[in-house]
Amino acid sequence: MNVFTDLDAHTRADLDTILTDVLSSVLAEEAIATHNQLPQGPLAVARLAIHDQLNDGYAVVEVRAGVSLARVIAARMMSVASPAPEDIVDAVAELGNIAGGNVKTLLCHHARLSLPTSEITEQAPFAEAEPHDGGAYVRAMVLGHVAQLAIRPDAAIDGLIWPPFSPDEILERSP
Amino acid sequence: MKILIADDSKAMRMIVIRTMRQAGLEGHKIIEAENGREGLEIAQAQSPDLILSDWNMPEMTGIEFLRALRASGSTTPFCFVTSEGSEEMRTMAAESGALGLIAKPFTPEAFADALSQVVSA
Repeated sequence: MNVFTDLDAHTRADLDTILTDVLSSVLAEEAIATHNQLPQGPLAVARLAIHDQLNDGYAVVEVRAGVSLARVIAARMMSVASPAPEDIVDAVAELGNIAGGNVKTLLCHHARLSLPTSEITEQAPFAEAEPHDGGAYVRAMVLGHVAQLAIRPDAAIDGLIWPPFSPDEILERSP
Repeated sequence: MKILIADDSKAMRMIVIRTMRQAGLEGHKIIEAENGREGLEIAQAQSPDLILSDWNMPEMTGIEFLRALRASGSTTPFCFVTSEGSEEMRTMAAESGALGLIAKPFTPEAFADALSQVVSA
């Protein structure tokens, strides 16, 4: 069983709500679900992984936004007019962290969340942005910009860092 | 009051500070830590009146920070501010001695509700 694949319409609606709520909260602006495409050009991408310990499954949660929107997000989060590149990376990573934590709470009963990582990429083709491995993606529009939240069940988790284990996070596997 | 905010994201530490102000919980001295281990060291050295901590952090998680603090005898009010708000985590937090858990994304009202009994406006 993989809790990250073949999500039903109700769960996808919950993902819409997670993305719009996260964007609305950090920007203090209304965000709405959309089917519009991500912008062409440089993108800010946040990634983190969820380990579903009940079924030993993994998925990568990814948030993508154009650099213009990422800059606005960082400026609002940091309360600065011109955020530095490291501020943009930090802000987008935290955006991914908030979304990932909510996805984990939505889909899993006993799971771990990795620490987020983020980067600014020069080009990210649409084919790469949309998962085709049974995962799901939703998009939202805020301030005229589009952001995307994706769940990628088969994406590589190499390079992601996990927080230290707590003893009571080690779960006996069900028979 | 002296309030310690532990979160590995500078952006989130700034949002927490701003949200406290929006909740009317302002005028306090803020100390910041980038992970649980640094938070524990600062808490033991500077004795804050309240600790607001993320859960998932490098070096030492928030729950280990809380448990180490309680094991040292500290009763400082401790509230999680985290992206994971499952019942399982809320229970673990309460059983470990946390005042509460504020789930991200949050509102100023959530801060006021969770902290008004320990923070003066």
